[in-house]
Amino acid sequence: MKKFYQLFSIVFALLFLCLPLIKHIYTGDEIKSEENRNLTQMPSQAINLTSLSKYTSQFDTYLADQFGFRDAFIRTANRLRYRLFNEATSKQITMGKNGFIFLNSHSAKHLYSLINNVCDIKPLTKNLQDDAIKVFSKFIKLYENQGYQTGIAIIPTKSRIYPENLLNPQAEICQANTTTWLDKRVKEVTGRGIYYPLDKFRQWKSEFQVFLPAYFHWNGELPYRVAEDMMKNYWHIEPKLEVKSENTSVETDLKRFLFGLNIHDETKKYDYSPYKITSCKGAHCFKDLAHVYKRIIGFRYFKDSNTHRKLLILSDSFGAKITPHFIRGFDEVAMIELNRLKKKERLAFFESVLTIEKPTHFLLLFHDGGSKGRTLLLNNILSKYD
Amino acid sequence: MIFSSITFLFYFLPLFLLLYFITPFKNTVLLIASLFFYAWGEAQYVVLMLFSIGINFSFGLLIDKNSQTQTKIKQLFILSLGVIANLLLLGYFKYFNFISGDLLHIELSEPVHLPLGISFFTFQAISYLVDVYRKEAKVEKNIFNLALYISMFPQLIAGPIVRFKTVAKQIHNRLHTLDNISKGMRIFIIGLAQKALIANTVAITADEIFALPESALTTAVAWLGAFCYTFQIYFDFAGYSNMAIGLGLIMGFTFPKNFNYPYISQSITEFWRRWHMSLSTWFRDYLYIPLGGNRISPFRTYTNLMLVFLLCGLWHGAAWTFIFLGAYHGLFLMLERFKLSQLLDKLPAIIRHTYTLIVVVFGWVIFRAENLTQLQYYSKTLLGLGQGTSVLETIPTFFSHSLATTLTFAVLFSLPIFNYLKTQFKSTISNQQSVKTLSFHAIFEIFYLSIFLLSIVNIASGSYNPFIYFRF
Repeated sequence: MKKFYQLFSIVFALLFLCLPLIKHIYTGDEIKSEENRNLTQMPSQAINLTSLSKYTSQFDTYLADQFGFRDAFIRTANRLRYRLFNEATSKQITMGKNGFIFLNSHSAKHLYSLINNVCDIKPLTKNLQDDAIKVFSKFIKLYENQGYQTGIAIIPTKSRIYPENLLNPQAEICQANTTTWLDKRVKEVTGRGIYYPLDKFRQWKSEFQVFLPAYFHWNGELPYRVAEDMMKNYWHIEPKLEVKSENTSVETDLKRFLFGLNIHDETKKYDYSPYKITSCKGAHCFKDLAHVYKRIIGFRYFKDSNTHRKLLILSDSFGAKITPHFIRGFDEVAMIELNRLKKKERLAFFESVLTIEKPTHFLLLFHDGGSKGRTLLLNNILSKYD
Repeated sequence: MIFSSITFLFYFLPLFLLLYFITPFKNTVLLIASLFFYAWGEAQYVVLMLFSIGINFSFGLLIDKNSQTQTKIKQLFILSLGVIANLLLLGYFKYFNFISGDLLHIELSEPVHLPLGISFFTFQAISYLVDVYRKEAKVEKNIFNLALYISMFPQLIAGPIVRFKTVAKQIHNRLHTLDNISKGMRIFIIGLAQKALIANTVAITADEIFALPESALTTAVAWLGAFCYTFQIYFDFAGYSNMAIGLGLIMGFTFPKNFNYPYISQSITEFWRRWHMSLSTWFRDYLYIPLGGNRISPFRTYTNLMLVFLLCGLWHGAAWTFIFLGAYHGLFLMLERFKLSQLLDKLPAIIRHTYTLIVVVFGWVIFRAENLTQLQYYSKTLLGLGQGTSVLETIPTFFSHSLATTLTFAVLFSLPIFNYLKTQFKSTISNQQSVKTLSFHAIFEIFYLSIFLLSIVNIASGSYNPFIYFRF
């Protein structure tokens, strides 16, 4: 019987080691993965002895991306870690208190940078702050002078609104730092000023779930309310449509980091179907801009009305959820995400986008963690107007 | 290629085992696989290894030939030439950068690359020549067999340092039994788990803490980093050794045990009897004893001890920190030999143990430090004399649930608990076929398979690299 156990274990272990290889041979290489990136493909052959070392290292990377049952292994590892320790395999995710999940950084190289930035744990330098205020004012003035009703919206993120659900030490610091540099200095932006709804979010927190626990971006009621508030109080436009909502369940937008876990949130879904709204999603809706922004992502919404108002939003990933709600006050709303805009495309894009789109209203929207990035972007673009 | 990589576990190992067990030419398969294994990491240095095999084969034959016909002095001369040739190889590749840069302050346009495993295969080669000279091992007249001994992949890059006399017979003739394969597989699994589940987890925290600048390093965090590194180095190294020993046993080779619960030691002398045993016995047999061992004057014994440990430190790496590490351990060994041991013997075991652990943990800080500057500020911080303050890099930042659990297991598996349980179990077995016995066997097999699966899953998930937005 002991021999049987031994034999069973040996066969089982060997089989387990062989299966990834067998599957890889059988199914071949994959290209896309759940991780939102292309998987490494087989490297081209090494030509000489010196390049052989580099080749083997590339081959290691290739095999690590392509071995059979990779997804199943990763899914199991993620589930085990989550169930046993309430932790995510990716260090970019902070599993906070009360079911809250925070994206702490956009890059694995700078963990916690997102939280540290927005909570002023690592604030922008005084020079960068000055630059930000200057360039935001300049942006508004420049495009207002060109005839566009121009605005900037900075959206506070979850760690500002629910700091108590972070883990220590971030929880303690974010709770203590109730006023950050942005809160203090945002009023210095001249012209129309910046739409920065931090106080509103804090007030709304007692009325509804401002940010969904497992979501990084906003969703449901919050973007709806912000769109309404912006139209009324920032642009003085009365939204026309009355929209009904119903409760729905949404999968976390952090699922790339939580692959294999089935985490959902309850939220509100707004129903625009009674109104004749047409929409267009994707690069083909912006054909005229393709020559200046190759990998463009964007949405368009049209409504059959005659307000003669068209809104153009240039945004980060927060733009997608708020865009449809602006249709309540505009005939047309177009949103273009800047995340894929390459450095060398910036100038040409900004020079073309307004003349091609011809909006009446122009909005730059980003979340508070993106202040530095947007400052640098605008500095780069607007420097020619000095 | 390391044992805990996807390439090794899912591609190299299954293909190798398949070929090894289905062909009758086992040594040929093993030799080709070993050279391939080495070439995967160090393609251009395979030639260097072949050169090392060639010169050691020739020197072995020469020593053996002269042992029958010539005087002892000529034989010793040939041995010395062989050892010097090996040391020159090691010296050039491992210490040239250090000597030219740190000692002579000469800037090299292109630093010398350190080939993988050179410290291990050079020491194995030296032991071969000395053992042939001492007639403790028979000379190997087949160059392929010697090549197999020097290049055998399980112990090639991280030991244990296997003496030729230990495996000589097995190279020629060895048994492949179900018991050996099963036992080897278990040892391999234990090693894999030590590496994948414990060492890799604590390594993340150790790396994060050792990367902190002086200004952000606080005493509590520095101690956490030092403890994490203490467990990382043990479970990493012992894990790798166990994987090597296990693989060897699967193929019918008996490699020496390399670690014997070093953290239960109650003195530094005992620690070195339990830590990297194949290295410490190598230094004992090929350096310390030839220098006179304990049978000379106390002054010379102390000098020899210090010399051996300075060289032992230097063997670990070419940097001042390693020399300092050797001197540090040498100093404690000298003190213990002088009077400290007698004093320690009178103290309770817990104090002896605490003393040893503190010395060892501090020693690992020396080992881990990037340079003397880091060593200086890290040591100061450990002693509570650091200037670092941080609101972010505090204990809660690093002390996750998984780290706490891993550290608990690290402490438990640093103790011989598992061995104790196994011994207790074996002593209670009365009937080999009883239900109780069979259940225990089943439980053990399930335990091994479970930690194997966990380790594999953990390693496989290491390739997970998500992006919130799509990367092209």
